[in-house]
Amino acid sequence: MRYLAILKDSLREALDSTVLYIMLGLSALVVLLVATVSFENLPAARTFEKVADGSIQLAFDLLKPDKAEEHSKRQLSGNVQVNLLELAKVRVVSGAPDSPDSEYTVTFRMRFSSKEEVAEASNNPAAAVALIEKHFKDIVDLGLLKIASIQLATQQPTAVARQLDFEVHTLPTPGTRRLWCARPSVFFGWLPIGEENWGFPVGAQLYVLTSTLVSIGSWVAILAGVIITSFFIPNMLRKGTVDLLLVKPIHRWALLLYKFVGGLTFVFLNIAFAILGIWLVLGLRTGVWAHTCLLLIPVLTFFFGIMYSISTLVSVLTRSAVASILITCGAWFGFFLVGTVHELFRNQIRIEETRKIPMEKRKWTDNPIGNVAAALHTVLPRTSDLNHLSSRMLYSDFLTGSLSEVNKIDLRPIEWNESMGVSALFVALLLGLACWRFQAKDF
Amino acid sequence: MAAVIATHDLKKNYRRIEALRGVSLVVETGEIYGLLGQNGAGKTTLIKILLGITRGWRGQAELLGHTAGTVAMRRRVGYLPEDHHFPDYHTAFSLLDFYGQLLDLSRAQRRQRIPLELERVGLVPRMHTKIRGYSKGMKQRLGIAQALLHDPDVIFLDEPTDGVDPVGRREIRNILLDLKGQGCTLFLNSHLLSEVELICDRVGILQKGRMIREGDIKSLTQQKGRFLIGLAQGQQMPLADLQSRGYQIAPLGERWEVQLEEQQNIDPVVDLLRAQGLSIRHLVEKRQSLEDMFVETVQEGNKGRT
Ligand SMILES: Nc1ncnc2c1ncn2[C@@H]1O[C@H](COP(=O)(O)OP(=O)(O)OP(=O)(O)O)[C@@H](O)[C@H]1O
Ligand SMILES: [Mg+2]
Repeated sequence: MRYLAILKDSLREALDSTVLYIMLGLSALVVLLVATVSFENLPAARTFEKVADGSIQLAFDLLKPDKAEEHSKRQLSGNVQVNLLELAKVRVVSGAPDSPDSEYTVTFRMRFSSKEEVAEASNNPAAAVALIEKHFKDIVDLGLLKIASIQLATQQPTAVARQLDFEVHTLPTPGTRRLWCARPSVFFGWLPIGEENWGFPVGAQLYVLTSTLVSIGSWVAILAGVIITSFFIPNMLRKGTVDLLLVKPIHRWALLLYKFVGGLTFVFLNIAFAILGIWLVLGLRTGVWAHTCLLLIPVLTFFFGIMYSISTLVSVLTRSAVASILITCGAWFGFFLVGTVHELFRNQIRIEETRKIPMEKRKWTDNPIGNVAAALHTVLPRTSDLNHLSSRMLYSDFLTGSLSEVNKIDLRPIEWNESMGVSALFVALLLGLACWRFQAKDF
Repeated sequence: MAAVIATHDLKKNYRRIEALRGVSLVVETGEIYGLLGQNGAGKTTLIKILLGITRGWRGQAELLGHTAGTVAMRRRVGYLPEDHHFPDYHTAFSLLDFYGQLLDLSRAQRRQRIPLELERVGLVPRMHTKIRGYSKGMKQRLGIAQALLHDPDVIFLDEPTDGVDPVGRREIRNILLDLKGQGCTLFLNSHLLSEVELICDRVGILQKGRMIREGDIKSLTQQKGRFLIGLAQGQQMPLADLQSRGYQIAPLGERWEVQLEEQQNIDPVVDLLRAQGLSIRHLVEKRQSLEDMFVETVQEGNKGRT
């Protein structure tokens, strides 16, 4: 009841400024723009061509959330031999032609360096089949396609020497739709992007689109949120205004926490509006329902919560909105810096370890800057982890289809419990301090 | 009668500034108490301590039987701060609705009471426009409405008529007297002594954080043995007679002022006038204005200290 009253009051305050309308308008504009994006599925051959030359596998690897993974046990690109295969023929076994939901028999052509090799492979194709299997492994692992069988084609290209044809029998999965190459366009097909036959897996395109939108959008949303909400508490603490609230039968700490939650709710609504909007239009337009990306709403709200707890403390201490904006943005940048430097050192240290560089030659291990970054990283909120989490969610939605699949490729060692715990503790600590100061303050 | 407000040796420092240096005062139920004092005397500080807005005081301070600053009793207290600033994105109605929610008034109570209180201060025609556009006096009226919103038992008003026009001031005075009639206890700070004189039962004068004088208005403004006598049209005062009997008498406008000595009494004067067949139309014990008393007291206080 009181919480709702304070929330409503904050909302009224926010509505009073035009910034909120500008923000909602911007979100609506972005959602509408995304709604005009359409994907025109290309013939099945385009997809299998790109699987054959390995460019899809490579792209999935390049797009994955953690790029600095020299240490990883398994790397996507490690399994792909570029230019190993060439597409020869695609034949629908069942279902509509060129539909991602159909079964296909795809004929791939493999090159050999000598006639002897060809003869050997045609007598005993197991090794070649294994090679092709490996070429498909990433895509199959991520659940984007199923392979029923791989065998030597019955009709071989007699005309050309040093080549063998293999038939791969593919079965569709729910993920095949994301794998399918399509040509994008905006404004309902009016403005196509790329050349006539250009296309790429829908999932990868959606991932690039949404992660760009989310990284820019979340940045803008959180910054705008920090600016708008930074006025809430200093305004409440204004002389002559605060007196009127302090004499109400409500504890000071409750007043402050409600106000904090009010600001949080306000930003939550904004973020939810934008994300739900994008989720809905993408789902409707492409048929790819990215459920995990809805988790971005709480993740981004939590991110904002970290920032707002700083703003709240500074507001209570200084009663100045400008001071809270400056210090909050400074802290934001500080967290970013600590996260980046720490990650850089962590990766380099791991590389030094895997390469077994002797201790005395290691430049990154036990470096003072790295140690300071690590110490700060231990106690400060892990905003970089939250950013990473966002990318993971999008990756899982548009590329792999589920978060558990991402774990196979994203090996960044983040202790999620610890990371969230430290950040939440930081928020609790700052709010506790703010309440404590507010409780004892004379007005 | 139970004490609504009771402080004993109340002290408060703002860092170096000693705002209150041991103030003791008691306000009984149903009283209108006026706290007077020069700027910076500590009047607002005293109210803020009682309401829990200012902390870190020493001594005793009780409001409605609870230690000052307790959350629970705030439901029974109304407050109009000086220099108040209402969030101006609200309208009068929405502001009172917000405060009403914080005061735990039900929706039905709010729907009923808000228009009533706004009616009382004459803000109904503007109640759905933003406070931003209100004049100073309108904001002051709104301040009074919000202090009365939840039908409190005690109301603290810090300069309630600040910025209000003379008609409005009279209206506010009547509201306050109404409240007193309903058994409400009022505590007010004001520099408008003529007003304080009209409504307060008791006043206290605070100077530099000390209570230097306290009492009911009548006894504070009474001037010992000074009477004003008026006779019917055309009748003459027998000045010589009275002076020969040792009374000091002098004309004052249409009337005459009698100054009694220590052992003298006004009754023989009346008897003498009646015996001479004169008709007495006017007889009052003369008072000092509250303002004279205040200025005098404060000046004495200043002398005493330096
Ligand atoms: N928040 C504060 N911080 C520091 N000093 C304060 C604070 N509030 C009041 N004071 C000081 O305490 C003293 C008493 O102030 P107070 O506001 O109680 O005076 P007042 O009697 O209400 O004066 P006025 O008639 O001008 O309203 C003043 O010297 C003032 O400077
Ligand atoms: Mg004052």
